[in-house]
Amino acid sequence: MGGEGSGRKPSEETIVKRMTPEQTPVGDGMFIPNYSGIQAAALKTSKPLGTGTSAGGGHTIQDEGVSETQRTNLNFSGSAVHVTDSAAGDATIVHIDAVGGASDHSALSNLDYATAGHTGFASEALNTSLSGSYFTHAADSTDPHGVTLTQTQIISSGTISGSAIHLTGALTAVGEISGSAFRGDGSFLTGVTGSGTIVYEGLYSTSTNSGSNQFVSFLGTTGSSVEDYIRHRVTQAGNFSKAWLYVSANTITNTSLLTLRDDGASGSTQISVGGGLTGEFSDDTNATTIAANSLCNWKITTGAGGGAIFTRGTSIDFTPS
Amino acid sequence: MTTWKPDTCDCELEYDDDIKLIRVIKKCKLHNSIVDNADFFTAVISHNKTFNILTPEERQAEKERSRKV
Repeated sequence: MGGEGSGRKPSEETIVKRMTPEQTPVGDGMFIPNYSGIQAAALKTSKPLGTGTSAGGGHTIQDEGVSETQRTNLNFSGSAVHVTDSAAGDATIVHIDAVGGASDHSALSNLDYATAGHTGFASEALNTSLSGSYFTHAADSTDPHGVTLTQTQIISSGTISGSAIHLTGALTAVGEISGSAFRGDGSFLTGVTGSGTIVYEGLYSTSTNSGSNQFVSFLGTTGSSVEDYIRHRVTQAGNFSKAWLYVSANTITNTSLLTLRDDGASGSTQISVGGGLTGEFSDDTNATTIAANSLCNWKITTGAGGGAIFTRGTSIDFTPS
Repeated sequence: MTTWKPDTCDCELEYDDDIKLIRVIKKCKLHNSIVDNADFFTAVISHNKTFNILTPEERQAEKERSRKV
């Protein structure tokens, strides 16, 4: 029905079909034109195609700067390593925790300036008792020791100066002890042991009339006719030697004497000052040996006739035995 | 024995307790010309005592004179 010669008009679909040329396959192969030929990245010898703006190809894995053989997979191992996949973040998360490492200060070892581990401070107080480092302490100009610095060990120093140096222990000197501040009060030399020179350089002077005795302390306190008032205790046994005296004026006719006194008795050390003579006088030959805790001082015995003698300074060496 | 260095010249000497000269250590320019030690000792003592009774101005003048000798 409706076929050719039937007198019926062909349908629209038949008409369209008849107007469309039949497609004949070209062959087994198909040629697809390319915009620039084969992309170099698609070649077998090239690295896989990358994405985005990265350099592509991944990292070269190295151990301490030495490249490892490239493999398909990268495997993290060890109990401290945890690898998880994050779909939400589109990432593989590698987490390395501190399990197995030292997190306490006391557990640290092989630190610098230590030969067998690091022990730190035994207590918090030891760590905080000093204000800053040694250099901070040394640079502190506001006397970090407070009013009193108590020193129980030997101090070796070139010069010690100050207006309020109070010694309660032994003072041992190998040099010269000098200064006008050493004014004796009757007890100054208590506890003094020295091997140097006891010098008085102040403006002290004493005038002793002819034919009289006057007792003078080592350190130049005003002379007294009573010896007990001016004696000094020397706690260590030893020898006094090289006595020295300066006479600034002398109008006494006969010879005057300066004698070292030891517990109220005259020692061997003695200086003779000729009548009327002035200048420096010394006894460089005689020494006086004293026992420990001797009470010592000078004695001026003036000669007869004339006026007075003015002495303005004395010194003497002391060597402990 | 006492060593004496006068404050009136640069001499230095030793004498005994009787003030007798034992040894001359140094003679100053002023007293260097005295050869005999006894005379030297007497001269130094005399110079010292004389000097000490001078007025301050006279002492200064004497010091200047001693240095120029």
